[in-house]
Amino acid sequence: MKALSILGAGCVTALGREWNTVWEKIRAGESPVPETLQGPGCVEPVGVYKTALPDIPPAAGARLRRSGSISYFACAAAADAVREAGPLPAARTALVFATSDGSVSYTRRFYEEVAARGAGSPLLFPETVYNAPASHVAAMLGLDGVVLTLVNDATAGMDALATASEILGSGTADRCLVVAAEELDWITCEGYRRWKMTASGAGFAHGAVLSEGAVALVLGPPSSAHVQISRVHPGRTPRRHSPGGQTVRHVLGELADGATPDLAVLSSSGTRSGILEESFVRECFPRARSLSPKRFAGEAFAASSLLQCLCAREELKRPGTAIVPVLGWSGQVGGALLTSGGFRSSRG
Amino acid sequence: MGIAQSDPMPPFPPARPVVTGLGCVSPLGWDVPSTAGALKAGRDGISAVRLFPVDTFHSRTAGQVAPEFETVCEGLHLASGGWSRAAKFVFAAMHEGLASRPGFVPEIVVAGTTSGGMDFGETFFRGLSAGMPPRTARRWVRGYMPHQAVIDAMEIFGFDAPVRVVSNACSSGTNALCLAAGLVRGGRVKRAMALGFDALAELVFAGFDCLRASTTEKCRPFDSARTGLALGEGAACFLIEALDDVPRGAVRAAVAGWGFANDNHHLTQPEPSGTGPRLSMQRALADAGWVADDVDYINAHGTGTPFNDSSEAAAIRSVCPSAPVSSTKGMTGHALGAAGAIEAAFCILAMEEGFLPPNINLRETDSGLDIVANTARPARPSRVLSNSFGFGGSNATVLLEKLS
Repeated sequence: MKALSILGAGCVTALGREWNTVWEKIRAGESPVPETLQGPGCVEPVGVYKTALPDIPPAAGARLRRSGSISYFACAAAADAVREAGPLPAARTALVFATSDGSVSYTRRFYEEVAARGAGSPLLFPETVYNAPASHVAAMLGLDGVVLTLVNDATAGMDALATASEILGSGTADRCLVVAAEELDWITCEGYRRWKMTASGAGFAHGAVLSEGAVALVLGPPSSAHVQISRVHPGRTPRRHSPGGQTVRHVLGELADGATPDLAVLSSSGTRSGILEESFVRECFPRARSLSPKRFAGEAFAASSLLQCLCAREELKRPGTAIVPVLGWSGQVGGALLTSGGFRSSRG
Repeated sequence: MGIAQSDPMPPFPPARPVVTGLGCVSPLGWDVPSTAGALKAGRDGISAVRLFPVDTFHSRTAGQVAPEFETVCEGLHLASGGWSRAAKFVFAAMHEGLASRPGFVPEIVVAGTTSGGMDFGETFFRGLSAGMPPRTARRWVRGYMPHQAVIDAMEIFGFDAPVRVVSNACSSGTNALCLAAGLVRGGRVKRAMALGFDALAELVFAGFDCLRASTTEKCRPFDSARTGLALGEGAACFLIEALDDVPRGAVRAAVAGWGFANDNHHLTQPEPSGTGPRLSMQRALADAGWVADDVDYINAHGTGTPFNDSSEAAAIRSVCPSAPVSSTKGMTGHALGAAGAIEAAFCILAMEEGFLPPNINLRETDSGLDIVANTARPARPSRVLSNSFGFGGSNATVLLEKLS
């Protein structure tokens, strides 16, 4: 793959929007105050970390007046990333947007209307498509080239990084803005609760606290002045009857390719697969320090996988190597390897 | 496909991606041979919707895969009946594609879809109020996710590979085909599979109905008095390899080039002068090194809505004014994320069997284009262009070529 430099970053999370604050809270193990979501027909509430709706640039304002929170998160994070990276060459900038659940709130509300009265609102339906947030980001920044939306479990973020590498490698663009975003709604909370993935369900010991928000990265060609994403594994699904952990070890081995990471930024969010991930990483990289940001920031799928990369980037202000494994809830395993000779971001 | 820093340098000149296997399920047929016959005959595949109640909607018709399709699924010996309708389309198209090229094992699957397993999401929502058992809920939640159908299909057919799902609304199928071809062209993989799939779902049907984009009569792309689209469904599967790696007899068509463009006009309406479609077509021609006169046939996006067809016609007039054009959506309906893939399959069939697919239900056109009206036109197209556009201002064009 063509290595990528992280030229700018932005995030909107339940821990805040200003990166230094977010990072301090992750380092301190400080979580947001949980709230609960519960819809009709749901037998118990689900605890979540909600994210405040961010201020957005005026350029996005008119387009977003009828959109869901996921588009606000995406536009705000993208604007912050571009601010750090500097002006983008619009005609030579691609946008790759990643999500797991997409505009789920409008989708649920629209179908609620259809189920109740046999018709839905034309104000809601257009925002239900997975690529609505990408469309708003592209319009805000005036991007008219390659604009793609990728959907997957948490490995969608890795799909997006791999796609960005391919786009830059093909010469189609000089910059790639990768944005990953999620929003909460009671319908997905109830779905994941019944899937036994959330922490608040009865009858099981482990589980995640769901969250929402967005992370954006401006990526460019390799440069020694920036942290690099040296390798990306976009995800592989273990065969149902393959020996336990074989795929995880395989992906970790491919990512490291003989390197000895100093740090592992894990995708563990409290589920059973997260516990397995921790044990595999300890087995493969016994000397690597580990960090699990989702334990504090919550599980926001594609956005969380890029938040892992942001944490790795922060730690790589000192020279080193960080591995970022991502185990998705659909069973896919992917990840990234970040390296640095040391740098200082424009944020200090 | 593990992407690593030590990946080999891209081939120079770039590898030439070719389609070596094909599978297709649509309202016109359950496989490639039956689809080809119906396409050539100009069969109208639109019928009264039977999958869910439509009495509260303005529109009542859609292109649906025939009920007898279930016999195909039985033939696949699927262990469980718990599959979404979209997943069954994926299984059938992938089965036919893989059977057409024995020994093909993809290193990556790139799929395009708009709504994935939406019928499972609807069932989950409705089931909540009915107090459904949690075990069932888990299946519905997983099956709703767009990538799950592909993961399940890989399990059924005995391979595993990275899955990349593009959801760029109605251009998704074309985006997926082009991205898969790009991975082969760039030397990142030797064998890629591209899919486009979508199944008719009540939510989506209600959505287009509330926008008044659906017609209450026939779908008449490029007709002066067109009144809207009919929805459709189906799937298509492409096996893609590098030309130099396969025997010539295995090649069905080359993926000669592609172009993507985003117009930032409106979430659902195209920019009236056709800026996005024009850019995507121009970029595709430049990518392939073709000029306008090289194009023997254009399979238009042609949904039959007043806005789309006028915008697309303006773009075609400015880029390829003399090429014969048809929209096949009058026969199939608009299969959303599957449409681009199905229509690319139609283009390959047209080149293989020597005809231009008809634009049915046309009475009089205001497009200013050479529309292949109502009946198939005998021809020997060897270079064709297929357009797909979608919500969000997403535009994609793929060029396919028959190699002599």
